[in-house]
Amino acid sequence: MSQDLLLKHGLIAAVVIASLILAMPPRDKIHLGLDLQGGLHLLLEVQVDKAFERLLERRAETLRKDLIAKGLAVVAVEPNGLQGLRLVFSKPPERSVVEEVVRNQDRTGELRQQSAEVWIDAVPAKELQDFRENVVAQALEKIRNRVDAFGVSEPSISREGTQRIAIQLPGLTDTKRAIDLIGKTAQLEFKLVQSQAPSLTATPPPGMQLLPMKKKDPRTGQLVDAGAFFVERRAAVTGDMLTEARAEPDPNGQYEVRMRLDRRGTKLFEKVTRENVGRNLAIVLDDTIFSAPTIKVPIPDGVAVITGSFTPEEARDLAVVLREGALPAPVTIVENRAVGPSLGSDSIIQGIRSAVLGSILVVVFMLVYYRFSGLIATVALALNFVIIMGVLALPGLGATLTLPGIAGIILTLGMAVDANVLIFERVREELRTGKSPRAAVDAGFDRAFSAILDANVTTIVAAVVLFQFGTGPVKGFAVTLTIGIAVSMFTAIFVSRAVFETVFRLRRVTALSI
Amino acid sequence: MLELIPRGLNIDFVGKAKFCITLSLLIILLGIGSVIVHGGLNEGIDFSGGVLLQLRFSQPADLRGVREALDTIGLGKGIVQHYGDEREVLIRVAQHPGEGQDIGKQVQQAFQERFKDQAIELRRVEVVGAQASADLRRQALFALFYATLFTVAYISWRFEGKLLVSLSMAVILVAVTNGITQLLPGISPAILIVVALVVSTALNLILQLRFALAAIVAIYHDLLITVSFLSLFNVEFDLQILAALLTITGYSLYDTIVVFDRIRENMRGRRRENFPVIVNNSINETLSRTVLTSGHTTLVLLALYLLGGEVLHGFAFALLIGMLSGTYSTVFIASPILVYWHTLAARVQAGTLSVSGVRANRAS
Repeated sequence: MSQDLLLKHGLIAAVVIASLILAMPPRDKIHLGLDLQGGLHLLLEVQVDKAFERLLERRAETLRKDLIAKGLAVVAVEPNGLQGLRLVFSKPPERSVVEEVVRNQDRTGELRQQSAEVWIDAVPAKELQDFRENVVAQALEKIRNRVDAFGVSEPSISREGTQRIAIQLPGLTDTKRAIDLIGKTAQLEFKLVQSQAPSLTATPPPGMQLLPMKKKDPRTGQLVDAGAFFVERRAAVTGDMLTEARAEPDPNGQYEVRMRLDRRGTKLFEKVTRENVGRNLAIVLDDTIFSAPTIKVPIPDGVAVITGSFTPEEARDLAVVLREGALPAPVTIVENRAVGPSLGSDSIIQGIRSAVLGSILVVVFMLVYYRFSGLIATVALALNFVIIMGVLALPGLGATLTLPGIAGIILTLGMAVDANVLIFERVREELRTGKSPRAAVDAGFDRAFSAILDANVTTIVAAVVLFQFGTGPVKGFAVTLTIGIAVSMFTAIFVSRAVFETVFRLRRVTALSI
Repeated sequence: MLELIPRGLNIDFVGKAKFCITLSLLIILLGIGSVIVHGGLNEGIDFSGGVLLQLRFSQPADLRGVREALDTIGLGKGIVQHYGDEREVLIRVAQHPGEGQDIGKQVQQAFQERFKDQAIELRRVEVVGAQASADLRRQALFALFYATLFTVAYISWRFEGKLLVSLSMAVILVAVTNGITQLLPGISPAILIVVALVVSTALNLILQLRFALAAIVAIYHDLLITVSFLSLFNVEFDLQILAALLTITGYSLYDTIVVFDRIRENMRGRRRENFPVIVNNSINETLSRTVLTSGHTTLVLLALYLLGGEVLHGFAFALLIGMLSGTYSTVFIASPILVYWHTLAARVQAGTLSVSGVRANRAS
């Protein structure tokens, strides 16, 4: 055998062996999509604008105080959409004073006068953009830590677009728990209670806000409304002063979350409890009051407890989110898809069955129609399948096999044979013109190549566009389609040609079985 | 040697073009009518938003009971159907549940109360919010737009050998559509697709890229036929259908490329022969591969359609239709367009038809 041909066989053998090593056993090596192994897919949207609004509100408050301290007649300082702050005065203020106060806020805003009494402290576009970027990155990090608490193997968390986060949790189907643990902002605040609110829609007195209280219904386990309170807008202590949070059983056999505050928090907590003995302190989580116990004695040790008749799991999850800290912005779940494990395994069986039937049909046809050459195509087809599996299992690629992905493999098996059909038909034509088998085969491969390439490129173009755009299972189709077509070019053209050449080399072929 | 197509076969394909074009138009019109009657495409939750639930009962489920049970938790307006077999039930609800609601558990509990003697397994829950589905729909249309755009650019290059022309065509298309989106940010990508369709067809006409034009018309034809069938059979449009449509844009070209390659090859050899005859001969010469390649793909897709399970049903159906349409359009749509173009161009040259007044004047 010539060196050239030996090299070809060596290459083919190497690729096949490498694929086998990579993909064996497929059950362990090939990463299955959530639609095949069951699991939960969540798409979260980070409410960046809401977080920015809050930031502006806090700024407005500080600015208002500073302006008043300078003796200016301030009517209001309020957020002006997301563009900045609107300063309203009762009589035209002195320009230099306003400018000085605003400059002292330590920001790079632009100050504009809208009318004699109204000024605008504008936020540069770049700042909003940076803020967005930061908030989403932070949220991603926090969510990653929270997801770790599930102990799910191989979770995947990725950013999607500008402000969305996609989460894949294989094997998990408890949607409610996942949403509670991941989707909760976990903004913990301690706020002094002014009074019970007459209704959920009552107007709070100045400096106060109305917050609903929720209690767990012991029968259904659902949270139900339990009145509302007017509480101070300003939080006495916030969750970012926590150093520790853990779930512990309470005397009634249920669970509570016990927290320890840091030094600053302890001091603040001690002060507020000392000055307000007899009043109620609301424990507020994400703008909902969990409990509002009466302060009986000052608490000097910085230990606070959230009680809420929690199950052990709920208490543990709450402790996790409190410990990891609040998300920098609230998130909403815009998409959530859960597939049970039994549906996944049914899908695998159906996918395999149709792949087997499809292959049998194609192989039988090729063998009957092209006989020996059909056998070569069948060998190429088998290798095609093995190599696709090998590529899918490539560790660096991170490919995932989904149900549409299986369909993609089945489809590319058909396409791989298509390439052989084009070649064999061309060979037959060349034979009819009186060429020798060898010359006909050479001409057949050479002349069919450009059509095969073109046809495959147009399909790969579609697959790549789909990959760019698609999500989840459909992305899996784009992946296997692309891999399958690329591999089919190798097997249907390179491998089957090498086999033909070997046959010609080993014996004198006078009539080709094609 | 086993031969599917007898050698020397010479069917007058081009002669049947009028009938076939009429047939295609008729199917597309039926499809449009069906879309109108159905009040739009039957969009799945991917594109319309809402909730999809799949439950498995231990015994055949009675759909009326299922609906009644759903009514008790306020989801009575949902669409309920058997899925695959009698024990499997698929429920589609348009409204989005409240934040933090575990709709899957709620439905399962309601069913468990109603069907006490049955074991009910919750197999799939999908919730897609309104914003997410609107985004998906928009992205889907853009994907379709870009796939056709790139494919058009590629085949203009390969068929006509004019890389610069096809590249500039792609650039012009992107520029035009970008300009439109800049001017009207909220514009539907569907309109962009139509614009791109018109612009690319016009560019091909002006630049006289006849092979590319014929191939592009064939792609549009296949997509329209597939969508028509999907609407006629009321198949749900979801992300998988989008994947199928994208695959069709690429794959339906397979036999078009083969036939067109042969036409060009034959044109080189037999310049003096009548162009319609060359086209018809080329189709006949390549007929066996056209039939064999699409035959194979049809076989594997049939396997997928029959055994692939309910989840892949619509997907396999769409691919089957698109694939068959792709083969049909190669022979009966794309090739005749080439012939028509040629005849038209010949008449213009002869001055018997004054498409371009300038040229006719000069000739006289």
